[in-house]
Amino acid sequence: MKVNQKQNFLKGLIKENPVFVFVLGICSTLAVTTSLESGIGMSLAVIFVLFFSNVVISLIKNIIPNDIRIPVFIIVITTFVSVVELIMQAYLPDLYDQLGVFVALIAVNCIILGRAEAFASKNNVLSSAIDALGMGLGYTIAICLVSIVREVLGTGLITIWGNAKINLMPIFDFFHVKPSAFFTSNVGAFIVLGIVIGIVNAIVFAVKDKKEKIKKEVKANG
Amino acid sequence: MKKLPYPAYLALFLGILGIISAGLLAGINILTAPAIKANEEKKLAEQLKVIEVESPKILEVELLENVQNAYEGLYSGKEVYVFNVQNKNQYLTIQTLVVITKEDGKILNISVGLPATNPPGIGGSFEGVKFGLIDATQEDYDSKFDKVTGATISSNSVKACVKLAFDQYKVIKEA
Repeated sequence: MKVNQKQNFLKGLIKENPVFVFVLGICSTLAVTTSLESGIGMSLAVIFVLFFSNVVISLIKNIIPNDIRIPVFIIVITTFVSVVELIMQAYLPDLYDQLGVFVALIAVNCIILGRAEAFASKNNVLSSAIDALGMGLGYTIAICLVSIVREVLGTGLITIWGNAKINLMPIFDFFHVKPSAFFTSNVGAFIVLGIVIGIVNAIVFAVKDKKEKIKKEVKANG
Repeated sequence: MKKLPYPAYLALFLGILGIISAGLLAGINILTAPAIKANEEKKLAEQLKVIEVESPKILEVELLENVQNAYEGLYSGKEVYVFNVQNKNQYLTIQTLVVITKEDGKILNISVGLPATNPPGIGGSFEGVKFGLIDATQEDYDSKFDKVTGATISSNSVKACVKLAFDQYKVIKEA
């Protein structure tokens, strides 16, 4: 199957964004988006696992017996999850503590198993690698967007990495309002994610409609 | 050569994949183990520095649920156990270090902190609030504790941690 690599990469960002369009990987998106730092850390871990599992599955796709393909995918995915867990525990201990059990739970992230089953097991290594990077970047965009909204509304800060923080409290002070811990709670996570998905999809549909209108007008004008 | 039955072939395939996976993980484990050990020792030293426990050592004992670690060391010249107990509610996790004498099971110190796993703005590093209850037994720590904590922090969560520490103490003594 011939794949346009540019489209293959770009589709994961908006058109087939795993979080905003397919609503996959929601468990980690809700759990770790209390700060941008943990969002970025989780995204990097997911990209690593997604990339290597897609590449390995694509490499061995022809020798995997069809009857046990899912257990094989799981073994490959969990191996890379364990690798990322050990590396994070050794070299990024603070981030590892923040993400907690959600690093191990990448193994059951539907985005990764979904791409293995729907794409990597049917396409060549290069396409699978590009698909993984596109989907991973799409996941990163989603998780960072939700993290920024939650962290700003919840604490008035944006924690980029470690002590690198942007303090937005002067803006809150200007409007005489205070950040609310509600947005960093579980309930707040659901509400923020729902609103962000709604806004992103509204924008995507509006752009799509506009493009179709222009197409129709061009057709009508010959 | 006789052809392998299909189920045996599937089992063999999974077995080989499992061995490759285990080999890769063993390699990564060898590479990362020293750094992980160093991190744990650093974390332990930072936590125990807060409560001034000298010569701390990790105790290899069966831990109760929510008891994260158990240590032994010296506190004010006495041999003590230190229990790191966590209590979680809907919004935050409280981490409590309880120092109990080895000999007679008296609390020498309770330190409460908010671990970094809490949401930003709520949690932080283990800086903690030091209450330093001296010579409280399991029977009288409730009343003494209420006097010093006031409304600083959810005393029920801390009490639950201290109760767990006593339970862990009993487990070690009975072993």
